[in-house]
Amino acid sequence: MFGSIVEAIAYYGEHQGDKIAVVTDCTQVNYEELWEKIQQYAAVLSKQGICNGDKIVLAADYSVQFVEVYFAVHWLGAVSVVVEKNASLSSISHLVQSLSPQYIILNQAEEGAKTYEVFNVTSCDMVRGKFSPDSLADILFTTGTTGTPKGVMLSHQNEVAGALNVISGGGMVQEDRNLLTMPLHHAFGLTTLRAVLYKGSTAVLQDGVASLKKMNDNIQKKQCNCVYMVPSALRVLYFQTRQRLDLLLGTVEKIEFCTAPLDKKMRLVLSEQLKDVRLYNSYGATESARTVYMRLDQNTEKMDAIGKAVEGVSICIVDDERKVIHSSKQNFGHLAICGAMNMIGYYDDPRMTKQVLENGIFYSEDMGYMDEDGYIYLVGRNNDVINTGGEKVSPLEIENAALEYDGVQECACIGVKDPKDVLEYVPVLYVVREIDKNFSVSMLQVYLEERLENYKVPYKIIEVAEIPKNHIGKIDREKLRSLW
Amino acid sequence: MLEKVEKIFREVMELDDDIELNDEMNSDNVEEWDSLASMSLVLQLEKEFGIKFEFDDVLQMDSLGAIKKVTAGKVQ
Repeated sequence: MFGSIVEAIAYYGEHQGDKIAVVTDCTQVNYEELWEKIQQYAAVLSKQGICNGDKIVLAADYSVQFVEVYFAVHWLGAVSVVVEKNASLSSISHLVQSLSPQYIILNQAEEGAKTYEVFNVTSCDMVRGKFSPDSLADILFTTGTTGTPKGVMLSHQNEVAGALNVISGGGMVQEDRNLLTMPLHHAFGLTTLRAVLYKGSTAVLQDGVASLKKMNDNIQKKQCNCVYMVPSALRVLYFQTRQRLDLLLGTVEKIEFCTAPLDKKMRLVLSEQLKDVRLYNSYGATESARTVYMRLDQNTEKMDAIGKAVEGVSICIVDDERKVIHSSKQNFGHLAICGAMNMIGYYDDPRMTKQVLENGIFYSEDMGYMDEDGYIYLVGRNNDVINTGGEKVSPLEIENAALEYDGVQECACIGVKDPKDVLEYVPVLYVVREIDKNFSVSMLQVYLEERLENYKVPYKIIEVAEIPKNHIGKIDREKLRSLW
Repeated sequence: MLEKVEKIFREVMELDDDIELNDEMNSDNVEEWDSLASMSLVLQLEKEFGIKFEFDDVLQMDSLGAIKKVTAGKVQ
């Protein structure tokens, strides 16, 4: 067992150097090359004064170089802060403000940030920074219920434990060629990538499922036998393959879904069209990676469950006072999760950390119950975060952006079932116009499109006379949902 | 017919009129070309021309040039 993912890569670099580690559209590297580059890039960063504990922001494009720099940061004992591939300094301003990172690497050149081109100069002064399994490795930002993203701090040990959950839960073997189609700035993508490299297996990186040809080539020509995707991607592929998923995925051995349970309709399609494929639904949180796994093709009698805790993880159901309860469909509670993958805490936020973490146990805001066989069933989220296509969107973030628009007096955002049945949920914004102000819903839409990532832009903006509120003046989102 | 394909492509990809289209445009170089746009494109073309694409057709529709070619083949 290795103390960190990067040490596993170092080992494979020396012991199975020829094995292909990472494949992208245009290139591939074996473990020897990956390990060499990691050391070289660590030397480049070291020459620029980066040392242990420093924070490096990295845009997660689908390049081999991203993977190399990500682990070079770890090798130096520094901290990777991964952001989305098209991030700009303005879109990550909250993060820059709270972290004061020593180095920012984005895809587009901007004053105040570097691009990956800085690594075109290599250095031969091999260095290793100071770090131990307990050292901070990543800070990954996730949307919270307060509207402010929270920085989830993960140690090397947390990441190794998360990787082991993926490996044991999904039965990953070294010979697998794993096709990763999900965003790499998300816990699902990053944890899977780390698991593949910890196992000494092969990761094939694919930027989404927009191109059916690319996906088909990765499966057929690059011989991927395992595919990882969010459930909404499967629905896109079902459409793109003209309801013949078997033509695209018939030769793979395993498919894993995460971020949201797969709906019953798609499960049925899969069981009919992909009879010989191992199908997994995994469950986890950025704070507590991939703790529950379900074999969809084997547990048809437990269709509503999200699965069982993986080896090394224990889960129980607790009440609001954190006392273990004998749960049932009618008597559900919070999922309390114990295991080495649980985060260190939220960055610079001990209050929020205390709300979810106590004595190493992660108290999830997801509510559920467990049956006598240990299968866990989710009832719902204990908050109002909108899960759209695997991305978690805070309604408060959208509301805060809309409130900055001149003419908006108040507003409230809720998640509604995607009418196209692709993204699970989509945000809808209810707005009250400021008296005597010129206001146009279409202009507000444009305003939000300019300020928010695509998936956060409301599917619909509806003007109303007032926002329903409860007795203490809080927005009554349930009432809003009933209005939809 | 090809003008209609280009018009639909421009609308789905939200490309301004001043952006010149070329046959090499694909999901790597057109920012708005994501999985939902791919779906929408197939749907709009089927609706506009009253055709039905099969798996092998969609497989080829990887660039604007390929989309024009496949659609033209179907319409004829």
